[in-house]
Amino acid sequence: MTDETIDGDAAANPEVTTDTSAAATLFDLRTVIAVLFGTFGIILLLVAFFDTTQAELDKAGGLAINLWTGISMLVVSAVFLLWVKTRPPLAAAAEERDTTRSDD
Amino acid sequence: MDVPVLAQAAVDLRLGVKWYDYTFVVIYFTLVLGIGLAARKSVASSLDFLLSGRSLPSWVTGLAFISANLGAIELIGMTANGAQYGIPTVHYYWIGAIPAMVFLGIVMMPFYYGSKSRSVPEFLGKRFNLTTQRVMGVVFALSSVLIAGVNLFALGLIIEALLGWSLFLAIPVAALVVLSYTFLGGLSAAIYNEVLQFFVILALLIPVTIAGLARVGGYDGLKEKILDAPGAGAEQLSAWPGTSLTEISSNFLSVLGIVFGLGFVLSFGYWTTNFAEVQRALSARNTAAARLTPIIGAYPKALIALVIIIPGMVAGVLVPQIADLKEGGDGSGATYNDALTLLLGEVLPNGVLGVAVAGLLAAFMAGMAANISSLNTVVTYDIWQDWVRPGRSDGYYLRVGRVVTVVGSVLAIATAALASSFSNLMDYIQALASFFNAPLFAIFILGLFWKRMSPTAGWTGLLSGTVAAVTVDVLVRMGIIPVSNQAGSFLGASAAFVVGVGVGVLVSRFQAPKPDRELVGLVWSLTERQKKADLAPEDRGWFRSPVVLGAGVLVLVAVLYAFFW
Repeated sequence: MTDETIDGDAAANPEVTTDTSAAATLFDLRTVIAVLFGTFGIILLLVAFFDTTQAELDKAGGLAINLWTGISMLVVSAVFLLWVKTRPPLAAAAEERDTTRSDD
Repeated sequence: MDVPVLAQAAVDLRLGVKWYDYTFVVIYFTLVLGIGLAARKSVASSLDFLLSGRSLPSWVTGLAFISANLGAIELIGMTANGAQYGIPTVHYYWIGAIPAMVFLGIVMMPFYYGSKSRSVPEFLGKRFNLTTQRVMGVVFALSSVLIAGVNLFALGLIIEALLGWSLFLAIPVAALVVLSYTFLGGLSAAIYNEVLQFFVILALLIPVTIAGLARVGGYDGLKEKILDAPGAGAEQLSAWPGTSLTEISSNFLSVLGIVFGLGFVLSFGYWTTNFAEVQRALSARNTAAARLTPIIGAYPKALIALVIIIPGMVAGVLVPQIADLKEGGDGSGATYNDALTLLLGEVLPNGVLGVAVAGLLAAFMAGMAANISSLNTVVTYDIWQDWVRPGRSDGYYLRVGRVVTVVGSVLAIATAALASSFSNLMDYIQALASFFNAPLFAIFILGLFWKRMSPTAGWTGLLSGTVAAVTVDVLVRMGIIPVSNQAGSFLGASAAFVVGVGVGVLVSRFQAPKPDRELVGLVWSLTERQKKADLAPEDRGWFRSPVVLGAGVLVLVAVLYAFFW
């Protein structure tokens, strides 16, 4: 019963997103997160390779924290990209609508 | 300007940032504003702007639910508690949040979301009457502006301390950034940014925890150093009985205080009625997603305690000023509130340091954006549409929502100045919570489970509870009730709860209750099992069941407690 018009439209024509559900699909948050961590990760790796002094390594008890944070961020970025690839925004939205149809 | 709280002139918190550290901040802010611009395209109606058109998936609303709470005060305040009290701080997370969040998802959300209310005041309007809705709307608007001011002031302080900008420049600039994306994209932009903030804050907390632990020789090394340090000891390494935290000397009463005071009255009052939180769930796409919102949020909430409290404990042994404070010294002008920022400078090299600065700014914006976006919903719907100017077009209310966003941000700058005159922000916030959240929780619970509670009982219970809390607060401050501020706010919250329930029961005796048919879907006993099931359909698959996931997070908390007993 939630928002009959939205669900109704979407059910009638799943290709077309209505104004409101466009909020969820227009731009994909998962891509934004992947871009953010991808760029952060690359910059951290550059810093780790070109501007690391022993004094800075000692700050974190000898741990190359820039290097490891950079690598982890690239992994996170890759995971989010993979998620977007396996479930593209429109398909994900349509599928979620299907699984939650029982709401009506 | 005299700013004695988060940063003091005496301590230099300035981090040695290099040019490339700023690139993280610039990239992050570009994406934040980009989200505002992109979300703008999806705003077609006032419901889009104020409740994201009720269209968001539960992982988004769940993370936003947590992020809205993971603001400046939380981050700074809880690392400070970690430094000062150690492990007992976990109670604020594990017993003081998780059970209430699970309760909100499983028991209360079907009523909130199922009643199609757009805000907490509107729900009260349906259960009681228009007066209750208006009283609650005005009270909420007032408290939102006050708390947004605190968040903004704290954000300004951190920019001043870390980057060396003056407070007069930092506060308006910070307000402008939050204003621009909430103005453009409404709640969607606020919520999407909150999810982004969640990840950026983790990118601050996890490296600082790992680097800090590496410096002190792992968790075992940390334990050894805490046991050796004067002014600390074994009680900082185990959660129970937490006497240092409660300032109650009896072990039994201390545990009782934590379980009932923190775990019941304060925590349920905050998590189940605070609209800045509940709004995130109301914007979910259906009842199932709304119920899952606080429960999905509960998992990161339970775990994030570790990466907030452990850095605080590390700061207590590693940062000379904080260690000096723990030994009873003056910390050369530093306070426990400086623990996180001092630790960042101590253990993080340039590079990750820039990520950390971006994360701190993110945390500070999250709190204020949550206040502003819930403020404009309540003012637009509950005060403007249902009271002052009813019956206009939706486009009109969309414009009202945008205007309120601007006015709210400007007022927040003014209350930021007010907040700067308080000597302890944490006290200020806790007092506000006992004034507003505890009486609200009282009439909520009574109204949900007792169908005889009458319309007038709603707002009289609310106001008398607030009066009781304010009275207790004044008596504590004047020294007539001889307890600490911490115990005082718990006492105030309890008084507000008891008086709110008492007045509610008393007033109901003299007035006819609402007819049963008007209360279906609003009162527990009148919402039959069948109807409850309708209100709360389980998504396909047991792993999406709120009950299973809720039980799961309670087990997780039990396991965590077992580790830090």
